[in-house]
Amino acid sequence: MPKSLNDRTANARLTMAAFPLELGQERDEVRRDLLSALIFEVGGASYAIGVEHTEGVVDCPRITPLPSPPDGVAGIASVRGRMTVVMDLGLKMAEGQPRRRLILVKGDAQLGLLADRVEGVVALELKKVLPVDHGKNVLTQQHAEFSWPAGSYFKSGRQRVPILDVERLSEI
Amino acid sequence: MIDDKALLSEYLSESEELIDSLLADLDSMASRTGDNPDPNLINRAFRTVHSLKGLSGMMGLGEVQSLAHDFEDILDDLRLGQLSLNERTSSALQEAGAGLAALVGGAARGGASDEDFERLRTLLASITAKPRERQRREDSGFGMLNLSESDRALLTEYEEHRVNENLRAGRSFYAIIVMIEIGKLDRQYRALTTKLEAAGELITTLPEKTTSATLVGFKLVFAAALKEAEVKRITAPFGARVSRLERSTWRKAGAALRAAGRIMPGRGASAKDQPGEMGALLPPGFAQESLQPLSPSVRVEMSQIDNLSGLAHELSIGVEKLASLAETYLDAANLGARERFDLRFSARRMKREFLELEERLVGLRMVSLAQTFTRAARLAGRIARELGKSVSVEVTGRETQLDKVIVDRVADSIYHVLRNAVDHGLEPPEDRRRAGKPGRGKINLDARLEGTRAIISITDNGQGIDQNEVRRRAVEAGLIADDDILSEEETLRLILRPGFSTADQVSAVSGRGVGLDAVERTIYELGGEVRIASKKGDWTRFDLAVPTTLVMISAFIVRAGGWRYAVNVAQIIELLYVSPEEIVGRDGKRSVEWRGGTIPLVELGYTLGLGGARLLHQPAGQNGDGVAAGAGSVKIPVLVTSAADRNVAVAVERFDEQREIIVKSLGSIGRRLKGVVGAVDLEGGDVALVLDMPGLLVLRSIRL
Repeated sequence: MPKSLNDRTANARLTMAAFPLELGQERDEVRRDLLSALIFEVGGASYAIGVEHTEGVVDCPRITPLPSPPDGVAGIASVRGRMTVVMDLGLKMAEGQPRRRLILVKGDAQLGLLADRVEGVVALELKKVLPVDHGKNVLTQQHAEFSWPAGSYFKSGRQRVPILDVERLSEI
Repeated sequence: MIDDKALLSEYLSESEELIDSLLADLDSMASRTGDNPDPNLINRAFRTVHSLKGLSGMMGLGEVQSLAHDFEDILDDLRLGQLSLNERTSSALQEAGAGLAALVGGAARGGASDEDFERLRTLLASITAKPRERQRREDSGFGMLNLSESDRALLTEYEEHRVNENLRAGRSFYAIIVMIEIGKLDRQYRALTTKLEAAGELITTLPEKTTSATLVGFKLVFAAALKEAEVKRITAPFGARVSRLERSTWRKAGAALRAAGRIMPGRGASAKDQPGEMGALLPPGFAQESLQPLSPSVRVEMSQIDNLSGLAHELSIGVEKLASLAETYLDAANLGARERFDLRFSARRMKREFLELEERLVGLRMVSLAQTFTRAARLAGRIARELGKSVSVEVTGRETQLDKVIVDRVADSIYHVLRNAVDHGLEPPEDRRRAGKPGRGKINLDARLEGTRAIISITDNGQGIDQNEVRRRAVEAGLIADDDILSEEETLRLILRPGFSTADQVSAVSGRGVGLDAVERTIYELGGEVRIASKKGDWTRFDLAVPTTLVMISAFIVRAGGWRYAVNVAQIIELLYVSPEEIVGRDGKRSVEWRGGTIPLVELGYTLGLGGARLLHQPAGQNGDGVAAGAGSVKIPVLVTSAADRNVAVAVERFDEQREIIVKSLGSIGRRLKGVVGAVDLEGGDVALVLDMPGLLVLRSIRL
C-alpha cells in the first residue's frame, strides 16, 4: 500500500459517492483501484479510516483520564493487555454515550478511536478520494473543524467524509 | 537516498552500530601505533567496513558503497602488512572514519553533497598516496608446515600472511582436528575457538573428513607460543587430536635461524622480489568467504517485548485465578489424595513458571552500557581537542546492563557531566604542569551494580570544586543566606541548582544556561539520584545512581478523585497523615510544617485536573476517606515528594498499598505526555496511571 493517501489522490477529481460493501469481505477481492475504508460515526459526524490501518474493533473498556491530555485524547484504556490511548474525535460535539466501540489503530502510537457506531467497510474508488487542503480555507468552517486529522475525504451524498491520516493522528 | 521510512531507520541503526565499532577500533589502533598492530583489531575493522559496504550496496547507496570499498582496501593493505600503521596513517584513518560516519546518515536521507563524497575520497586516496601497486606475495614459510596441497589451497592471502608473521615471531604451529555433533556445532565450535584465541592465534579452520553423518569435522590451524602438551590440555575437553604442523627438520633449522636472527625475509622491500610459492593456487576473491557475519542475535522491536510482557502478565493473572478456583473446588470435588496433590502441585508450578517468564521478559530489555560509554569516551576526546586540552578516558564496567529505556535516557546526562568535566574540571595543560600533574588529563568512566541500582561514575583528575567559591556564588545568587551552615555534601550539591554556574565565562562547550540541574532532574525522574564528591585541586566525581529496570517498580497506590494512581516509591520521601489544622494558608498557597520547615502542600486531585479543593474543605469524617483520629477530626493522607529540588507535600484521598508493578508503556504518544510514565493493570480491568511526580508538579506549574 502506498504510504500516504495524499500521494495517490493529489490529482483526483470529485464525481461520486462510495459503494457500500459487506463487512468481512475478503480483502483479496478488492480491486487495486479501490480503497477499503472503515466508516464510523462519533459525535454526530462520520469518519473513514483505511482498513489496513486498523487492528480490530472492540467494546471500549473503562477509560482512565490523563492529566492535561492533548486535544482529542479521552484517556487510557487497557485493551488486550496493552495500554491504548483513546482518542475521541467527537469530544467537542457529544457527551459520553453508554456503549461505545473502540477502533484499534495499528502502529507504535497504541491508539484507539472512540466510535458511537461503526457503520461498516466500504470500497472507495481512488479517483473519488480527494485531498483535504489544510492550507487554503476552501472548506466550510464546520468541515475544517472536524477534518484536521484527515489527509483526504470523499463525498457521500451531500456529506464530506474525512478519511483519517494515521500519521497525523499519531502526531497530536 | 532511502525513501522507505522503516527501511531507513533499519539501515541507520545497523550502520550506526557498525560505525561505532569501526570508530572505536580506529581509536584503539591510534593509541598503539607501531610495528606490530593488533591483527584482531585491524581484522575487525576490515570486516566492519566490509559489512557497511554490503549494507550500503543493498540500500542502493552507491557512493557510500564505493567509499567503503576504498576504505576497505586500505585496511586490507594494513592487515596484509603492505601499509604500515604509523601515526599519520592512523590519524588520517580516524578522520576518514568520522567522515564516513557523517556521510552515511546524510546519504541515506539524501542530504550529502558531491563535495562531501569527494573530500572523503581525496582523504582516503592520500592515505595510500603511493601508487597502489600491490606487493607480490611474501615469501612463504609454508614449506615448513606439514599441510597438504589441498589444505594449502584453501588458505587466503591474509591467512598466509599470518602464518609468516607467526613463524617470524617463533611460535609453534598445531593442527587441531575435532569432530563435533551437528546439534552442538554452534556452541562447541565457539567454545573451542574462544579458548584457542585466548591462548594464541587461530589462523584458519579447514574442513576435515568425518566418520559419521552426524558429526562435522574441522582442522584448525593454530599458532601459539605453547608446548604441545599445553595445547592438548586446552583442547582435551573437546576430544580434539593435536599434532605439530612443522616438519621436524624444519623445526631445528628454524630454531637455528631464529637464533642467528635471520629468519625469513619477507618484511619490507625484500619480500617484493621473491614470488610466493602459493600465489597461483589461491582462488581469486576467496578472502571474502569468511567475512559473512554469523550473528547469533535477532533484532526485536522494544514494543514487541512490551507486548509479550503484557501478555505474560495477563496470563499470569489468569493462572492466579485458576489456581484459586482449584483450591476452592478441591474440597468440594470428589477427588482422591493423589489427584489433590497433582492439582495443587501443577497450579503452584505454573504460578512459579509464569513469574520466571515475566522476569525473563524483563531481562530481554536489558542492554549494556558499552555503546554509550564508547561514544562518551570519543566525545570527551573531541571536546578536549576543541578546547585545546588533552584527555585520556579510561572506561570500566561497560558490560553493566540496564533497561534500554534507562540507558537511552541516562546517555544525555553522562555526556553532560563529561562535557562539564572536560570543560570545567580539567585544567589547560600548562596549568596542570604548573600544579605538578601530567599535562594530559584523565577521566574515569565506570559503571557498577549496587543492589537494584547501577552507579555510573564520572571522575576527572582536574582542579576539583572550590567549596568557598561555590558558597560565595550561591550567596550571591540568593540560593542560600550568608549565615546558612551547610555540610560539605550540601555545599557541593548547590552546583546542581538551576542557574548555578561556577564558570567565569560561558564556553562554547558547556555552561550555557542549561546546567547540571538538567542532569539532576533527568536522573531523579528515573527514580535515581546524583551524588558529588570532590577534593579541591585533585579530583571531582559525579555518581549517577539509576535503577536497572524501569518496567518493574515498587509503587505506592493512592486514590484521588475516585481513581487509583501508582507513585514510584523512589519518588516518595515520606508518607504521613496531616490534621487539617496543621495546614496553613488557602487557595493554592497552602503549606504545612515538615521536618522543622514549611513546605508547599497541593492536592493530587487538583494537580491531575480532577477537580477543586474539595478534600481539604470537607467537614471531618463525612466521606469516609482519611483516618479518623479521635473525635471529629480527620487526618489527611499526604506524601512528601520533591520536584526541582524542593520538597512538596501532596495530599491524596487515601493510601492503598505498596506493591511491585509492571509499568506498561503508553506508546509513542505516551512518551509525549507529561507527568505520566506509563500505566499498570489493576484487578477488575482498572488501569492506574503511573505518575511521575516531579514531571506532574512542574507541568501544573505548582509554585514551589
